[in-house]
Amino acid sequence: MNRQEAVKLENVTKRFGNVVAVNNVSFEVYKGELFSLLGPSGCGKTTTLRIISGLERPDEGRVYIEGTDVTELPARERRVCLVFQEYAVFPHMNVYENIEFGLKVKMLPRAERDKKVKEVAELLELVDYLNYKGGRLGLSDQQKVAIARCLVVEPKLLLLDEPLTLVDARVRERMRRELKRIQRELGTTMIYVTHDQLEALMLSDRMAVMRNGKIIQIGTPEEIYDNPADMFIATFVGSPAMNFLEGVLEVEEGMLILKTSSYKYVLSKSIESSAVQNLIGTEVVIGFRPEDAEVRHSGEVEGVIKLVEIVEDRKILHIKINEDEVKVLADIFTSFTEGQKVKVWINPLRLHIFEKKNGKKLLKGVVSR
Amino acid sequence: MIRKILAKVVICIVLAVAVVWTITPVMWMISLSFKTYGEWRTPSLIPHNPTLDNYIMLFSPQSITTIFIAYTAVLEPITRPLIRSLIISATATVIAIIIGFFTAYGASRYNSPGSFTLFFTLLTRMLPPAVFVTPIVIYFTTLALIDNIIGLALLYAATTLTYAVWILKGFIDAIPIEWEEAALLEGASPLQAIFKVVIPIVRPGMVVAGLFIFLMSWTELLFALVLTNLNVPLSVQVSKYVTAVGALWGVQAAAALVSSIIPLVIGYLIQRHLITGFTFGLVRG
Ligand SMILES: Nc1ncnc2c1ncn2[C@@H]1O[C@H](COP(=O)(O)OP(=O)(O)OP(=O)(O)O)[C@@H](O)[C@H]1O
Ligand SMILES: [Mg+2]
Repeated sequence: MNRQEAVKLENVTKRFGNVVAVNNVSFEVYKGELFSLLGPSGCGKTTTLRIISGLERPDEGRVYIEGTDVTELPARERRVCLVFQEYAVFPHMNVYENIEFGLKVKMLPRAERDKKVKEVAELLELVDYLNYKGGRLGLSDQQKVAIARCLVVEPKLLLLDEPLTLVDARVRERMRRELKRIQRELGTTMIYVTHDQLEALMLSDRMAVMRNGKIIQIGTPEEIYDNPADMFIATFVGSPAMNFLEGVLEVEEGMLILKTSSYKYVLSKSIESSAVQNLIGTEVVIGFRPEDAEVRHSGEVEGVIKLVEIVEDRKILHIKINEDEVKVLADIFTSFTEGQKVKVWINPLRLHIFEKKNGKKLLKGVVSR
Repeated sequence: MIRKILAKVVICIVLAVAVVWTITPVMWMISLSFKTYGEWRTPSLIPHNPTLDNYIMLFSPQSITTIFIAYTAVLEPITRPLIRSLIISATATVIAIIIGFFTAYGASRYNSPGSFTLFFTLLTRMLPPAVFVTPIVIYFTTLALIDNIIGLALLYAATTLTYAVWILKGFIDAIPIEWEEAALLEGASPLQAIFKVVIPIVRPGMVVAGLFIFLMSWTELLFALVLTNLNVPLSVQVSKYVTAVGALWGVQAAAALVSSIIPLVIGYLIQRHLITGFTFGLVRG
């Protein structure tokens, strides 16, 4: 593919005392892309953004913007703008002055400033608020102003650090959609930091998952969801979370079997793929998403329904299989009751096999299509 | 119910006592300044024969032909010390606030010059000022700053600087660094970030610190007495009306009243800032 690079990080490391906040991180973001950095609290997302913006200098590694090495370039010359999680607007200025700020320090003529401010205000639906003092706005409007302030200076790259975390849940969803609309409309390259997997899945063109200062997987939301690189991502992305069963892979009468401490589970009637055969005898963790299993009248595994939860338009069945408890999705019209005995079928195409030792993905799907 | 009323009554009494406590000396001063010579030592609040003699004595001592005539030779019109004090206090305030702001900024953002040094500057204010009189006199003599209002202004700026630093540091600490960083990312220089973001937000703090320093400079007496001779500031002038030779109580009361007008006017003009300043009500919008 012939995509233009907007930003590239090359083996970037940043330490604070003994803490390695960012550990040998490399990735690139292409022009016009909405790229997300997803990871739990403290994994180094903010630090990564601050390094890209130039507010923080990496201890090791290089940062390139549009092909130019900017590692030594001060923040104000990078044309990268950052929307902070909090404290987004200047409280002593009104919305108009806030948006105008970046143009004013560049000493643009007044008429031009006015035109640009109005354009951006229009885009973000802030026209009615232009006279409001920054500190008097609600949080979601404050974030809009912060985004407007960045857009007005036409940055090469717009960084957003959990901009919607503090915003009301209902407004958040609308803001998300709006943000994506603006991104599509202007074609601005954006890096969006979040610890909310749903947000990352919804927004991104591509995304990276971070943990303990390292990037562990980069891909499209579909790739991350369908093919998580390890158990951490498998747990972190998707809700309700993936189910796990621990055991040893074995072959019995030509069938692939997972042998747990207390029972045997037939994963597949045949062993076609050689990849599977190599795994026979290893201690593994089998993972499957709640939507990749079904409750049936006949099946290989018996369980008892412990709890029926209704979430939005579907049911989540908590099923106890011997020692393990798994979640299985069911249609909302089904009539399952707690205490009912059922059989569980797991789609063998969508099984994930992880190495027990380190949680790394070994294989996805135990039969070929 | 009864408790509530009782609480209110107690609060009212406390407030009333506080008001009387603060107002009485001022009332007494006002009353005294309008009394005739013979009445100065009588304990009535209302003057029997109100007179402006004390004020005339203040502003044009030469025109006095009455009983005070013996003093007029040594007294200059109060306008001159008043102007000197204005220059001294204003200069000291401006210098202390400017240097204080940048010191506070460094201390808040870069932890320079280190917390010990910062605390040490405060320590010097914990000793009685008299301790410093001798060395200061020696410095000032060497630098030929004795009886020079600029000398006093510099001294006051130096001695009040630590208050400016500490007050302003509190204000700057309360400003999230993100605001400055946002300014930088939008293309502002570090100085622009300070002047367009930090200073407008700490302005109420500057006003509070400024007023405080202005008042301290305005009322300082010890160093002013020691370091001036002819070019006296207002505080020294006020003290001159009551001397070993004779005590012009009424004139002194008038002088004190005049000297309190300037701070009062300033306080009135900036009261809007004072409220925000004292409540630190800036960041939590
Ligand atoms: N200025 C700093 N000084 C010392 N340690 C820091 C500093 N900034 C970040 N850290 C540490 O570096 C690590 C990564 O921090 P960072 O803020 O990048 O995480 P994050 O992914 O943004 O987390 P969150 O979701 O909580 O915002 C954390 O352990 C944090 O304590
Ligand atoms: Mg963060």
